[in-house]
Amino acid sequence: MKTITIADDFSKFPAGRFREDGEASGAAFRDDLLAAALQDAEKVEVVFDGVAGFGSSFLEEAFGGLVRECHLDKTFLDEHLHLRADDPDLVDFVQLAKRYIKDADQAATA
Amino acid sequence: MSWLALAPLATALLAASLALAGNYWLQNRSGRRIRDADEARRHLYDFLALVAEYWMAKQRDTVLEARVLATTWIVMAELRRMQSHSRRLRRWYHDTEEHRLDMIDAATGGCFQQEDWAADPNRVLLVARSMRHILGALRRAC
Repeated sequence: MKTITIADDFSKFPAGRFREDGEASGAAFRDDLLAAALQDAEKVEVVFDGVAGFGSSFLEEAFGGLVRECHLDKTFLDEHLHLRADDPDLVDFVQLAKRYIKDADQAATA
Repeated sequence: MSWLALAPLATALLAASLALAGNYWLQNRSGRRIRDADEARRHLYDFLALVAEYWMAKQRDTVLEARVLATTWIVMAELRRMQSHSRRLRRWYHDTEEHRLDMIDAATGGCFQQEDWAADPNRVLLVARSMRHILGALRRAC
């Protein structure tokens, strides 16, 4: 299993949706780290701990974008992608990211 | 006077002390729940004011943007901490998860992503709507 810790491997200040919004955007995280890791490894764990907060546009583009842009469905992501936050204050953001995957999957199949 | 004669008095005193202590404990617990609820209300109203200031601004304000992001996190943490104080609040926290996620989504959905700024009052309405559900459930829980 490959582990991506957003704060260490990407940025402590993840924000923005598209690359033009800044270096730590959701699109950059998805394309440069997450999608590549999902291609290489059987399972990928994303650790949310250590960041200074999330904008929902980052989360939507990073995780919802896996369905929309990378054409991965929710069933595949349920099996291969594990989102984790040991810091209880970040658990809502994990739930939000999961919801974006579900919403994008529903939109894709509608 | 025999010690046995004092036994009923001692029992009565003990029972009264236990009743007083129990009453104090109950009042203290419910008082804390009400104080927590008041504090949560204040946090949420302040948050709504901040979100409104940001999303109704005439031009993009990156300082407000950062404050919205940071405050979102703090408000979520405060609401989560409240659940540890009673079973009712734990249920309230669990039952309002979708509304909390709606609130984060509406408040921070466009932060750091608008090249050409456009105010979006609809986001303020969405935050207010989620807050209404969260606060309504909180009132029932208290």
